[in-house]
Amino acid sequence: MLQAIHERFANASDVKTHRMTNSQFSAEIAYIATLVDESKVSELVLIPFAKEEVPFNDLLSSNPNFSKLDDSARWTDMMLRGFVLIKLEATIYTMDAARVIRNTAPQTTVESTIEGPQIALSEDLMDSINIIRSRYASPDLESEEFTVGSLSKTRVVLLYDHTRVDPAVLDIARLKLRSIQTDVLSASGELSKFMNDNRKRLFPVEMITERVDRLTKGMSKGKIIVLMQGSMFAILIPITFTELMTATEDRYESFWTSALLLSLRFIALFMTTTLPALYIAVISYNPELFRVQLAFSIAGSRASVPYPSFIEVFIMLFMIEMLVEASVRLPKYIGSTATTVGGLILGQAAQQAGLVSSIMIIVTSVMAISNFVIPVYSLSLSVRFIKYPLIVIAIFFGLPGVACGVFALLIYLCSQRSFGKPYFRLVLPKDWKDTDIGEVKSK
Amino acid sequence: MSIYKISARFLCLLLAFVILVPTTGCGFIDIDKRFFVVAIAIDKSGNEKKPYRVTIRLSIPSSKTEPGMEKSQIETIDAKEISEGLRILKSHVDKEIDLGHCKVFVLGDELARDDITSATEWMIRRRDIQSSAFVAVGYPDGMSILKKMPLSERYSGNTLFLTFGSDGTKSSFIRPEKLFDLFRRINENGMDPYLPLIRVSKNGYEVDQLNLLDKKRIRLLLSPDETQLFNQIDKETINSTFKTTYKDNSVMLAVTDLRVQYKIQRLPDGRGKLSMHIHIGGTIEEGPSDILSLHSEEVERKLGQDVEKNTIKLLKRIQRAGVDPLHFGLRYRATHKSSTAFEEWQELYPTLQFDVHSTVRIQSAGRIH
Repeated sequence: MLQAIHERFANASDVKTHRMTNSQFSAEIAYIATLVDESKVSELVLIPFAKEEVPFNDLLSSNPNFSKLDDSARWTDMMLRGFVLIKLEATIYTMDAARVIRNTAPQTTVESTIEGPQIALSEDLMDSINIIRSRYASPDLESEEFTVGSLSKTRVVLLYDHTRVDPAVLDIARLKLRSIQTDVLSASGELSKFMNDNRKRLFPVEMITERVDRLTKGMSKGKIIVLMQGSMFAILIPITFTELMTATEDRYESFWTSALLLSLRFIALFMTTTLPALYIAVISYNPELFRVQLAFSIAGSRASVPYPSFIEVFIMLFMIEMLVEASVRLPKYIGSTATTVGGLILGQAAQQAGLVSSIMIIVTSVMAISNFVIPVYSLSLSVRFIKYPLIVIAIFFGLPGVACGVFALLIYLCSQRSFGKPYFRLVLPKDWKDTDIGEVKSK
Repeated sequence: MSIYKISARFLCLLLAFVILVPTTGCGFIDIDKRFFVVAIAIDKSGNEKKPYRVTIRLSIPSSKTEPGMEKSQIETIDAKEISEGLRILKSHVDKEIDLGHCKVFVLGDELARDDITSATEWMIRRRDIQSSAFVAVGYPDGMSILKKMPLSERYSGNTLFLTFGSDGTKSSFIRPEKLFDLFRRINENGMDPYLPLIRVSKNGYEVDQLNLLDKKRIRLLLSPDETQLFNQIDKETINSTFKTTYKDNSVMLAVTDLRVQYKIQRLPDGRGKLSMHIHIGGTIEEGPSDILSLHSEEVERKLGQDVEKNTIKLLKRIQRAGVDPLHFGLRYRATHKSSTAFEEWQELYPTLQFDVHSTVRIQSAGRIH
C-alpha cells in the first residue's frame, strides 16, 4: 500500500507513511499530515497498537471509528479528505481524523469582498495548507518544503499542481528559494523581494494575497503558491499586470458588470498616475486645452495662490501622502479621526488660506480615491510612487513631456517579466505554458 | 564593461531629455499669470501711418461667477501692423497676453468693406490662435462690439462664444464662420467667404444678418429672412420656419425635415442651368385652426410657391453680386472633369438660369384635433 501511495503523491512532502510492528501484527499507516489531527492518530491508532491491550484486528473491526475500504482507487480521495489509511493483513481500514479548523479562522481584511469567501490564510503554515488543500482536493497538488533564514529557519512551502505547472517556472522558483541568503525572514513581501532578480523594480511581478480563492484559481491555471510560516499572505507567481488589476469578485459577477468595473479601474489607474502631472502641464504650459469657461474659473480660483503650480501640487501631495501614511499606521479608532481632521478641515482651510486652489483640492482627492480603487496593495503602492517622476517631467516639459513619460512607462512595463513570463500582456494565449521564458535564465 | 553599459544608458536618457526640450513650446507661466484675450477687434483707424486699430478684450477671472459679474479690460491701440499693435499692447498690461482662448475675431465693417485678406493672413499664421475661432463683422465697428458687456454674461466673452458655438443658442438666423473655413473660402476656387454681422442691442448682441464677400471685401448684406433661407438651402437647417399667407392669415411652417438637392448642367446653347429640388416637411406653428382638415393641400402648394419664389430671388441676388457663397462653382468643378472647368464656370455663372422646385408636406397641425 505504501508503495502505491508514494507513487500517487510523488512529491508531496506532507504525506506521512509508517510501517509498524508489535508482537502480533505488522501494520501500515498513511495520512496527509497537514490535513489530519496527529494527536488523534496517535491516540486512536498508534498507542492502542503499541500497548496491545486488545488485539489490534478486534479493535479495528469493533470500533466504529474505523471502516473497511475495499476500493483501492479511493485511497487518494480519502486521504485528501483527512482520512487515515491503515493496512492490516491485506485489509484496508480508514479512520476520519480530519483536523477541524479552529473557529477563529482569520477573516479577509486586506482584500475584502462582499460575496466572495471570507476566510483568509492563517499565520500557521499547516493551517494555511489545510485551507488550500481542502479547497483544492486534487492528488496532483504537490508541495515542497524549504527553509529560509540562517537564524529564523522559516519554513517556506511551494504548492503547485504538477500537471499544470510550467516546469521552467518551477525551476526558477526553486532556484530562487535555495539561493536566498538572509538571517531572518519575517514577511511575504520580504520573501518576494528576495525572489526577484531586480530589487529596484517599480512594479510588483508577484501577487501577495490572503485570498484562498485567488490562490486555488491561480493554481488551476498553473501558477505556484509560496507560503511561509508566520505570514498570512501567500505569494502567487507568475502573474500578469491585468491580474493585479482584477478583484476576485470580477469572476463572480456577470460579464458586463465586471467589464465595467475593470475598465473603471484602468481609468482610475490612469488618473491617479497622471492627474497631478497633467494639472501642472495644463495650468502652466497649455491652458488652451480646457474649455474657455473652465480655464477662467481655474484662473479665478488660482488667483490667490502665491506659488507656482508645481509647489502647490507638492504641498497638496505632501499632505495627502502624510494622511494616507498616518491612517495606515495608526490604530483603527484614531485613524478615522486623522482622516477627518486632515481631509476635511485641512483641505478646506488650505483653500481658504489661499495656499492651494479649489481645483487642486479636487485633483488631489480624485487622485487619492483612484489610488484606493486598485485592488492589490503592493501595486497601489508602486502606482503611488509613479506619479512623482511624471510630475518632475511635467514641470520641465509640459504636456509633451507627460505624454513621453507615460509612453516610457508603458515601455518599461512591457519589458518586465514575471518569473520568465511576459508581465504586461493584455491577452494571453490559451495555455500559459506557450508564453516565453524571457530574461530569467532557468539554469 | 558594466560602467560603459550604465553610461550608455545614462546618455540615452540625457539625449531623450535634450530632444524633449524644444517640444515644450512657450515657457512656464501659470494660468493666473496669463491674461486671456477673449476677443480681438480689428478696425480701420483712418490714420494713414497707422491704418489698423487693434482692440483686445481681456478677461479678468474671479473665483465667483455670477451673471453680470464678469469683468473685462479693454485695451486698444493704433498700429501699422496688427502684430506690432499686439506687441505694444503687451507692454500695457501686467500679465502675459495669451491668445489661446481667443475665439472671436470681429472685423470692423469699414475694414471688411475694404480688404480682409491681410487680417485673415495674420490670424491663420499666428501659432496660438485656434483655427476654430469665429470670425464676424462688427457694425459700426469692432471696438463697439467688444466694449458692450452683455447683461447675462458669466465669463467675459461667453455670450459671443455661446452665440456662435453649437452648445448655446441654435438659431436659424445665425450663421457662424470659423477661421479655417474663412481661409479655405478665400483660397479655394469656386467658393466665396461670408461673415455674420454683429450689432449691439440693448442687452447684448444682435446676430441675424450675413455679409457675403468676394475673396476680398463685402459685396452683399443679406436681410434676416434671406439669411435664414440661405441657411436652409446651404445647411438644411431644421428648427427653422417657412412662412406664407393664406386667405389673409399668415401661416408658419416649422421645419422638421429639409432636404435640398441641386444639379448644374450645361445646356446645348452654352448657357448653364441649375436645377434645385427642395423637400420640406414640417408642422404648422401658426395658422387658422381649420387649416389642416380643410385646406392642407392648398396650403402646401402655396408654401411651395413662396419657397420657390423666394429662393430664386435670393439666388439671383447673390448671382448679381458676383459672389458664390453656396459653392456652386466647387460643385461644377467636381462634376465636370476638365482642366478648364473653373474658367467655364466663371463664364457660365453670370448667366446661370435657376430652376427651383419644391415639395412641401405638412406632417401635422402641431396640436390634437
